[in-house]
Amino acid sequence: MNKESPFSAEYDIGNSTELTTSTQENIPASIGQVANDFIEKMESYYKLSKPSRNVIRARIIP
Amino acid sequence: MKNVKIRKGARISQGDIYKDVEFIEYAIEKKGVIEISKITFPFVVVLTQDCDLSQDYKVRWARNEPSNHDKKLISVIVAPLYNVEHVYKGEHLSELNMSMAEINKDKTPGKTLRQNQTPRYHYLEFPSNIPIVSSVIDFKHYFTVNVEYLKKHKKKNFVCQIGPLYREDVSQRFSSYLSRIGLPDS
Repeated sequence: MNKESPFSAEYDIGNSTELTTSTQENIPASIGQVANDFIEKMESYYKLSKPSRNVIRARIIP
Repeated sequence: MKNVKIRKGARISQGDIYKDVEFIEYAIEKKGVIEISKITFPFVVVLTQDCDLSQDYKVRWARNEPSNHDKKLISVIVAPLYNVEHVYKGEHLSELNMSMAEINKDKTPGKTLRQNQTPRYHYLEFPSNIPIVSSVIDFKHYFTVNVEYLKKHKKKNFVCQIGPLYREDVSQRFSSYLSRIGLPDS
């Protein structure tokens, strides 16, 4: 049992590491993939979120 | 803003947000060459009154030919949404070679903007299920889009609709901005 505060540098993180590991094991890979896709999507929206100009030229064929 | 609808209706509605909407700057013909310049806006919001859009839809897509076309619209008013982080830096139109005034995010101008106290802008935050970052509608940059183009475009590019009250707030602030009276500098 830890006597130190969880916010102290001396706190033994043994228990919390174990807890984190068990939590991670319970997350299906598909959810991680969904999260990654979502982050990528958000990033792409962020990067592309400026108006852009495009000029098209076409020759008229009589 | 948490009141956002993600269900797509058949017609164009006030408060709809669409992505990748094109605006034709000009189309000219010179010596047998046609040149078209267009700007693609990542996101726009529909500002036309909803009753006008509803009446236009009924006349335009009616099975029976209506007795007249009095209610038909020529175009739909929209305004662009800009990423607020780009707006703070004045960089939101950098791809169009335009630099805009900076707005200090952490001081009064930034706070006033986010509280919707700046007449020109309307600040919006979206829930996490909507793929739009916190944005600003710039009422000065409104433009119009062809009705039929927008209806076809909606099928694949509808993002969400601003919910009741919030969209009326946007509309009311837009009309207020447009009807402002410009006074001469003294």
